[in-house]
Amino acid sequence: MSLSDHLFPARTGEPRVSLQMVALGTATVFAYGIILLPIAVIIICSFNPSSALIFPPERLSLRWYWEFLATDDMINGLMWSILIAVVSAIAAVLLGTMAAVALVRGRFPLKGLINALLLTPLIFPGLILGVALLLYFQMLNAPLLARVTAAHILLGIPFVVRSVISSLDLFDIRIEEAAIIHGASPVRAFFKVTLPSIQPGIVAGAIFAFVVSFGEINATLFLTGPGLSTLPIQIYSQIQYGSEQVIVAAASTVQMGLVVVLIVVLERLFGLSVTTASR
Amino acid sequence: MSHISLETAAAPVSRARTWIRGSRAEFLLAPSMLYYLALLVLPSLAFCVVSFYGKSDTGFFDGVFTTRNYVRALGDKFYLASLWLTLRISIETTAACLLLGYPAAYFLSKIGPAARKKLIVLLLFPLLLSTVIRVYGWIALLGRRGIVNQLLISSGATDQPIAMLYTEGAVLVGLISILLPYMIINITNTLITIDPSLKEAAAIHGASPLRVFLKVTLPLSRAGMVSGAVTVFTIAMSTYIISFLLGGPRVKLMGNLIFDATASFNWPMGAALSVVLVLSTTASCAVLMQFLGKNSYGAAR
Repeated sequence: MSLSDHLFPARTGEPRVSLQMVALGTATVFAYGIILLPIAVIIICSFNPSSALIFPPERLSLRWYWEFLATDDMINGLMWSILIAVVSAIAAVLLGTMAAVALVRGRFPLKGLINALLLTPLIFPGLILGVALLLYFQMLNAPLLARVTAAHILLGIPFVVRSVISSLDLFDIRIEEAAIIHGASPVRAFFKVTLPSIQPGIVAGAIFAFVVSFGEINATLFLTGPGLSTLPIQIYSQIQYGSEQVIVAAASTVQMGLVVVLIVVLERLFGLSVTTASR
Repeated sequence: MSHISLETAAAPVSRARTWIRGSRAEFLLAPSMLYYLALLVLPSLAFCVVSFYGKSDTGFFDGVFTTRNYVRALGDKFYLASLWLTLRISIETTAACLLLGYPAAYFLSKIGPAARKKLIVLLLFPLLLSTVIRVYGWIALLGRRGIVNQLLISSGATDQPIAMLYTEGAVLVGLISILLPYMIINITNTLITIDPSLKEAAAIHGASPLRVFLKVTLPLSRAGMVSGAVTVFTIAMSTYIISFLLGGPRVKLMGNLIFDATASFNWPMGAALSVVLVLSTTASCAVLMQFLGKNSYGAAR
């Protein structure tokens, strides 16, 4: 076997080595199958005309999407989900952007520690956060909407902090200095020059905060209650108690659709790099 | 240029610098820090404090300091069995994700960057969906009248539906399916940073492709394996929705016991179990890092 066969095993077409790529490819297809199979199944089943999950469906129908639209609990869940996701994404952007600017521009000790603290909600188990916040909010007797929104803001901040910091790192601070030298007030320079430049980071952070809030269930299950539940909670209780299982597939596909739209928007606006970098 | 005009030109520059670099930007931290204090630090502290009190039928806890909850959580067979089950399932999930994820990550690192990006997005998309949706897909597949049983019966492989849902196996499959993307992404990100000249050097010195993999690639991808394993293990340890929906009432993980304690308003017990869960997760991660670290050093030797 020549040296180049060792170095470029995939490209030489030498049987033993391409066999290796075939084996790796098979393993990859298997891994992707385990991940994507349940998602594909839901989408296909949601177009089932009957009330049983028959696979593959005998014919395609939108029946369960109409049922979804006609079910008050589901629509209310969707509306609450959107409202909570929008409000918590806006709040997370405000708090997270300020924190990111402070971390990049400010001079204070323990920067690394504070950065790590800001990212803790990413690794803090949702279950523990949910239970701890439930006890805390019960003691304070906080209203349900405030409970869920407050938790979702916390979960969104790390995504904003991360993506805004990476945008600020790319921004050349001399451009802001130039604006000030040319007579702009420092505040005006920040809002007119810096902010538009770091906008991709802010928008990406906002979209991630929205998506995280929109799908969150581990902490949310503890914080919702009578009169207020999000779409994932509705799906959860429908799986648990509901008899109409296909409507769950339709509701899940609606949720997926919204996430896909947001990711496509993000990608069209700023390219794939933003989507992958901020995770 | 005269001395004076230089100075007048420099003045606004230094004023701008003074503003930006010397500004009190750190004050912008105040809102988020206050928010974290009020909604992360204080609730966690209150929760820890409550774990040292007894259950109360009227309030959240009684006023008598006790370590009884911890004695029960670490001494009672029921709780210990659950802690062991949680650890075992989390370790099995982590091991399965490593075994399934590594070849896929290796494949992703070998293909071109454009195709890789597309395949990575395919891994990121499921992470953006609600866990409950991805769990529901497995219910539709594994249920008594689910798709797998339909296919088995119609193909004549069996005439009775096989019980797959509400088993430990179903929980394991669900966890692997949901957490595998983290592992693949973490390992891929490390594999693509390995300098190809290191592999070339090993090959030039006569190492076989297998030897190059075992002695160069595998040890150098250790960081990705560790971060992937820690992520997968940590999330698996605190799972409760996946085990409840796919395992039913028989598979009681620590997360499910915490949920049950809270649902029956036994806040102190739920809090003590949570503290035990967090501490055992942290300790296990330390062991895991040690173990994965040693393992790949062994391969490098």
